[in-house]
Amino acid sequence: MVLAFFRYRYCKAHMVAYLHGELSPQARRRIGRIIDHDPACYAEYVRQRDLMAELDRQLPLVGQADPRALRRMWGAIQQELQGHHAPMRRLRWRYGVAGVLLMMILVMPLTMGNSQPTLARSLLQPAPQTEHVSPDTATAANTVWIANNPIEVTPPAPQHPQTTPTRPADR
Amino acid sequence: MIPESDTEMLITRCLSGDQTAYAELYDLYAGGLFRLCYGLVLHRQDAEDVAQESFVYAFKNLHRFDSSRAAFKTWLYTIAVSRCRNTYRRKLPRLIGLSQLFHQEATAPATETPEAAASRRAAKDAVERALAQLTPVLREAVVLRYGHGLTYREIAEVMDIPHKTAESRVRLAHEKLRQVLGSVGQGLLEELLSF
Repeated sequence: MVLAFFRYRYCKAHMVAYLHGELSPQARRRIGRIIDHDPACYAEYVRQRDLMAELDRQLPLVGQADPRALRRMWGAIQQELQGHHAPMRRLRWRYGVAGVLLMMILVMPLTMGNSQPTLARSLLQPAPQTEHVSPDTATAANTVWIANNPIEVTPPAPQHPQTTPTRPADR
Repeated sequence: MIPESDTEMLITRCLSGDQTAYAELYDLYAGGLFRLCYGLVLHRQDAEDVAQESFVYAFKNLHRFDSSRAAFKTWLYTIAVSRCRNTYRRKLPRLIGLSQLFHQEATAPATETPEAAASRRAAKDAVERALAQLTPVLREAVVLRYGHGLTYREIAEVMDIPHKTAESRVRLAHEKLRQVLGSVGQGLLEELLSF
């Protein structure tokens, strides 16, 4: 009686694998012998076999795809794949933007450097720029002014007759 | 059954840049992959999304596929099962609506009588409801085995579990389905089995 119980348990535990043909040849022979000689195991075999046949028939029908759904999916997949094949284009575009930014970063200090002397000059007091004029020929009319703006130019110094001081000792 | 040599030839063409080969590969596996996804997530829109994601991933990573390690079908199914797991981790279990059940019907043969069509529909719906009552891991095992005819070794590969675990999960799923279908009523079970 106890032996029959354990035999049934063993048989039940391996019945599905037996029906699926997944047992080793030795285990398969053992189960086959039990089914042949034990009515309870035979009944279990019939139940499992029938259910297996039903599942084999019905489960492939679950979730049959609608052709329209498959076409829709393919359209979406194609779109995603096109997006995947474009990375080189995207990469090139990104490299282009990075290059322009780099150029701007490099050029900007140079531009600023050029503007600085201009600013510095405008802030400084303009230096007097006059020609040396001899007293004999000096007149306001024939003086050549370098600067165009007379305001920025130091006006010519007033000319006084030079008097040489006489020392009493010379007399 | 799709010959593996055909698939390998298509993959070679895909890798060499032949765009039509992608479409042919899709045509070969799309129906099966969608069925797998639907069998696991039991929701049409989610199944579409997961199948689509799986194909996109597979096509983008086709260069990583190693035919010496696994068949393309197993590799593709591994990707899909992984994404299905993400889906049912993210979402609460859904109830299957009647409209959804009617929408997903398989095309009836032209010679089928209305009674036979109704019986077929009832049988399929009963199996589907029974599937919904399984835990995700048991559902994966039973869908891969009965829905797609994978061996225990292939199931183990796809589910990333040992061979013995795959065997025990198929057995447990089988037991559970028998209980669930039995609890619906012996009459319905008889109807299912006699169909």
